[in-house]
Amino acid sequence: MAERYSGRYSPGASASGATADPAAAAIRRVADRRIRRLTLFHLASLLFILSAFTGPRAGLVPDLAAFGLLGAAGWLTRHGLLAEAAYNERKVARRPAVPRKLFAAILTGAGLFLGGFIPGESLLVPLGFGIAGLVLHVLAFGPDPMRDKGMEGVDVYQQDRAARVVAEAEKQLDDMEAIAARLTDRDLAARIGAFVAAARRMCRTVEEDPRDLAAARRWLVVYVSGARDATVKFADLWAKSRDPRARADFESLLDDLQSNFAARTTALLEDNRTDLDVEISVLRDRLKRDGVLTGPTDT
Amino acid sequence: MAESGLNRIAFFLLVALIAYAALSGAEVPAG
Repeated sequence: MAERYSGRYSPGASASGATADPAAAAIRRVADRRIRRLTLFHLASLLFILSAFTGPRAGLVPDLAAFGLLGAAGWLTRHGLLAEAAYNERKVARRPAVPRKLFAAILTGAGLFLGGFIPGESLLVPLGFGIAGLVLHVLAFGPDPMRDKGMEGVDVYQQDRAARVVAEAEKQLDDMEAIAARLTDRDLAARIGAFVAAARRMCRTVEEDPRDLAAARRWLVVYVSGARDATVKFADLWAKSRDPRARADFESLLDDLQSNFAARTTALLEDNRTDLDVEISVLRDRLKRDGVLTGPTDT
Repeated sequence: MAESGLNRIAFFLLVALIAYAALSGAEVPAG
């Protein structure tokens, strides 16, 4: 079906789909560019196929192995870059479980070692290739994020639970976006996109402070999946009947949900401020009692 | 992490190294 053209600067374009946070969008852009550039890496490693079938027979197996290892290295690098982008986008993140870029560097070195290997000749040349490949890979893509960040005073167990709830909610939100993309109706897609953005903000808030999970769980579990189910049903109905009343109902539901999610997220952030106020006043009392602070310091 | 010029240069050197390692093993027919 036809869909009206809309670009980045079209009216209403920013409301749908696009990431709300410009810093996160910039991180994504850099990661995307680096991933696209990996194509060159794969093209270069394709040359090992050529070498395998045109070179001496003894080189066939090592050359094919080199091609395989380099392919795996490229794939790992791609996933390492994606993981790094996800890490950089968040204020609170744990280090990736697998240092993918590091393994990719090792695979690159191993691939180049095998690729340069000629039976019966000195090992110095392939060793040089291998080491140079490893070093260049590390220089080109950098190390993996190796440390957790923003995790001070966060209960790891609680964070795991928060991460699971958020992941589930994000999956539902992805579904909603996919449905919105199929609706071929800009206004509706923008409406759904706005709700999804509000819900994602709540996800980020919970991720950054998992203590909010208790207050947000019902929202992220019940209401998000309810919104998704409603979207599925509406999309079915809309495809068949184009019923304007159903559309109005659905839109007002989305509006309600969106404003409630936004209000709830603000409340969660307010909670954090109350926590801070308590923390400050307790410390102040303590300092006063110990005689460090004297005089009227109540500000 | 932002991308630096060093990253880019290292990447292209890496691609060149792979291409060289592959082609130096290939038997290019003498023309």
